Amino acid sequence: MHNRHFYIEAELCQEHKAMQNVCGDACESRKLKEEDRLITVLSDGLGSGVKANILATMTTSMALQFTAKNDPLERTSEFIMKALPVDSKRQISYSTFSILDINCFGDASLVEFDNPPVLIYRRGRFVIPDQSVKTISRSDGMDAKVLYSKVELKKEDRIIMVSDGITQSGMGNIHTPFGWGIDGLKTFIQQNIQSNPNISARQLARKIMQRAKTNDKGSFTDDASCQVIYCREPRKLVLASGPPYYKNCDKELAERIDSFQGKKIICGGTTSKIISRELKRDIAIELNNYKPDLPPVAEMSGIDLITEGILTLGKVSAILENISNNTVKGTGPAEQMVRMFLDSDSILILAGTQINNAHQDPNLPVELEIRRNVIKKIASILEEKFFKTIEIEYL
Amino acid sequence: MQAKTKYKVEICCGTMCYIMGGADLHLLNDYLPAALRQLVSIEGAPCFGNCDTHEKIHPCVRINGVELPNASTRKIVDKLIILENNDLL
Ligand code: FES
Repeated sequence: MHNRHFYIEAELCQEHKAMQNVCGDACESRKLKEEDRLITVLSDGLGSGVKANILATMTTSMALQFTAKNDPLERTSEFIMKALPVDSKRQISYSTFSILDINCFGDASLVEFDNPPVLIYRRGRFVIPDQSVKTISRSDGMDAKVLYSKVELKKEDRIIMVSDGITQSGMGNIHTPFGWGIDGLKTFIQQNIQSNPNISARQLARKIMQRAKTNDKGSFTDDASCQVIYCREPRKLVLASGPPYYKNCDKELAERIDSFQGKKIICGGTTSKIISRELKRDIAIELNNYKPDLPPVAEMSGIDLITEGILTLGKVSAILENISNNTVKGTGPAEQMVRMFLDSDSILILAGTQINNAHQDPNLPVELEIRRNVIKKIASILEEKFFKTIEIEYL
Repeated sequence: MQAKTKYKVEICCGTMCYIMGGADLHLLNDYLPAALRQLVSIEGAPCFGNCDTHEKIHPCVRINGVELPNASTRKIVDKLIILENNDLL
């Protein structure tokens, strides 16, 4: 199934119109894990505030559902237009939408209706896919033109979806009487990627947002949303925890870690000793943390982080469970590990299955969970809450 | 820290020692008498490998390579004082 050679990073940045409490745009992404597919929908509801928000949210959730179920796109667009409630003042039901559907091969299909065009950036220029237009008749008698296109994505491609709050920002200014415009946005994107070729989806989305806000002199005159999708080399991480069940696997474990391309964490005293022995590298432990709530981290050349085992893993799992966004404060061993997890896309866990007899001692003052359970829990949180690709291998 | 000191104290940072009281030992430096502080270096070490014995010996500490079982800050300081006094005799 996994035929794609890149990882897809999707980040959204959104702000509402000044003096409004809710954003009238809605943007939602869903990863369908079994199909290895990503669907993103951006919609701008008519007007602003709560009413617009409801229209937009209805649109995005319908579009997501229908697309996920592989309903024909025409049906989806038609259904959405017919289902939306009619605005009492303006007598029309209306919200725009852009639907992006990327399958496991990296083929993207796009459906666009009345939003600023979705931009596909590839190596310095913008790709213009072949578009077909379908006309859908609406209940109010007006015809709606919906655009369909398909693109084969390549590594390093970026897709930028914005609402008109971005392209129309700065309208009425001397230099941009008609707003920033799609061309202004394009130039801005080009400049930013050229000066920072590895700019992450999140950074780019934020930059576009900031610039648009500046265009509007610091307070948006319309709801603004910017969704950036970046197809890039996955950032990889390996976590080794626990000694292998068979002694003769020690060497293999050490070598796999050593030759791994990406960040490396070793979790557990015995594990780090095995690796230190096999790779013939010393471990040094710094004792300068004066309020230790966890055993200190150790250092070894070539390894990014070495921590104690089960206590640290327990704390990592608790932190992951409790945080709501991608930021962690603190510098303790567990926090460092969490931060490294969040900064990675695909994580390989090498879990040794040898049980530490000492931990099973009923006289211990604390209960130590079996490492395997904690690891499983961490893996499932990272997968479900943070959309990481996780692979666990038992040794 | 690299300069050679007279006494090298290694504290086991393994899980077992840590939960059996080893965590408190990390503050050892604060409890050393001023006269000793210059002479002692404190380091962390990975599990000494004493965990599988079914005796109560945690937390473990090594002073100049000699293991001191069931260590506490008090015990380490006492031991260091004895060593130092013997040396002066
Ligand atoms: S944890 Fe200290 S001897 Fe094993």
